[in-house]
Amino acid sequence: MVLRLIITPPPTASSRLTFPSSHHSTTGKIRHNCTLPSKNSRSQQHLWKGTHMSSLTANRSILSQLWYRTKAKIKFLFSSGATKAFRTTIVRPSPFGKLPREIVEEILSYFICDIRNLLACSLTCRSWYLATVSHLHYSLTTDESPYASEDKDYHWPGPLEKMYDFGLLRLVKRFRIRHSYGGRRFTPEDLGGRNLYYFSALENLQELGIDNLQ
Amino acid sequence: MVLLVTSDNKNFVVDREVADRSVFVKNTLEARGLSIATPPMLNGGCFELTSPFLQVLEYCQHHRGEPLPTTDDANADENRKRTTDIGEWDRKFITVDHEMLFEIILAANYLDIKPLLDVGCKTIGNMVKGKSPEEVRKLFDIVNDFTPEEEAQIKKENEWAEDP
Repeated sequence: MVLRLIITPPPTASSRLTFPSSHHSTTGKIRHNCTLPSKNSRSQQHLWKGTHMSSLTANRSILSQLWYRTKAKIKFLFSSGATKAFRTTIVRPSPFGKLPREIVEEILSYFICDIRNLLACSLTCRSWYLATVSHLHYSLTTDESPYASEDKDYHWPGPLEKMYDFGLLRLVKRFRIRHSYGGRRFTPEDLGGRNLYYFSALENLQELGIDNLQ
Repeated sequence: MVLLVTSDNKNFVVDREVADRSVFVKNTLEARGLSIATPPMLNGGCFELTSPFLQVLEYCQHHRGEPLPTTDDANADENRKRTTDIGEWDRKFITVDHEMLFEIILAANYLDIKPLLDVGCKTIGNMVKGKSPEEVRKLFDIVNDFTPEEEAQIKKENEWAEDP
């Protein structure tokens, strides 16, 4: 059985309602087109007296209610709130779910020289983060000069230390030390102390560049 | 001529030159000395090839006779990665809805048609280019599966990211 719901505009005093089923008139003949009674029309009031009158009034109120509810629903469907509500309830599977990981990596590899797009991709979802993180941290440059603390323990306070804390130094393949602090030259002493830990974490380093090597 | 049978039992008769654009088909034919190639089941399920396969055949037909890319050409591979430019015909060919685009990519990957796979990947790359994470998620219905803490952590990590 197929149930069809036909939405009609709310009835007004002068509107005509067409009922699909048969409605008998007082004369016993089948009426297909019925005019709703208006309060002022005596002849019509007479025509719709009795059971037909009460059932039609009930139908009219039901239809009226149905119309206003439907109208409210339609309004809601086209509102931005509905879009958000539906988004949370109906989640379409992403087409990316179909793709094997190597293809996702292949797609994202087009951005290996485009840091802005790589950053955006890394924040999209976990699988994209995993596919981009090695490209994002391929290269690292420290601009700051290592400073000596009181116990003569040299260390870079900047990216090297932070990347060590994040556990990302193993991803760095190119490391450049660029001393910009007062034209100071890089000395073997700079590799001592805490810096040794950082350097040992550069497991996959392929290229090391040192400016101002003494 | 070669008879290609898709996993949903649709037959396609194509020139050997067209069929050889697929490394998978080429190797299958060469190894077995056959003229019929039947893609086997993939991941235990039926790989619905017919609709993307028609597109793939159109691509192979257009590019028939062109030299196949060599896998050991490292320089070409590097150049490929640096550009997302797509030829005029390929661009028109790949202008399809998302679902078909992903099906073509899967078919190209499965049939081992590297140039077509590149076109598909570049197309998606171009769609992603310049978009914010939210826009990308919306475009491809990707669910943000990061917790707020993870997202904050990645933003901190990315402060040190630089152009390779």
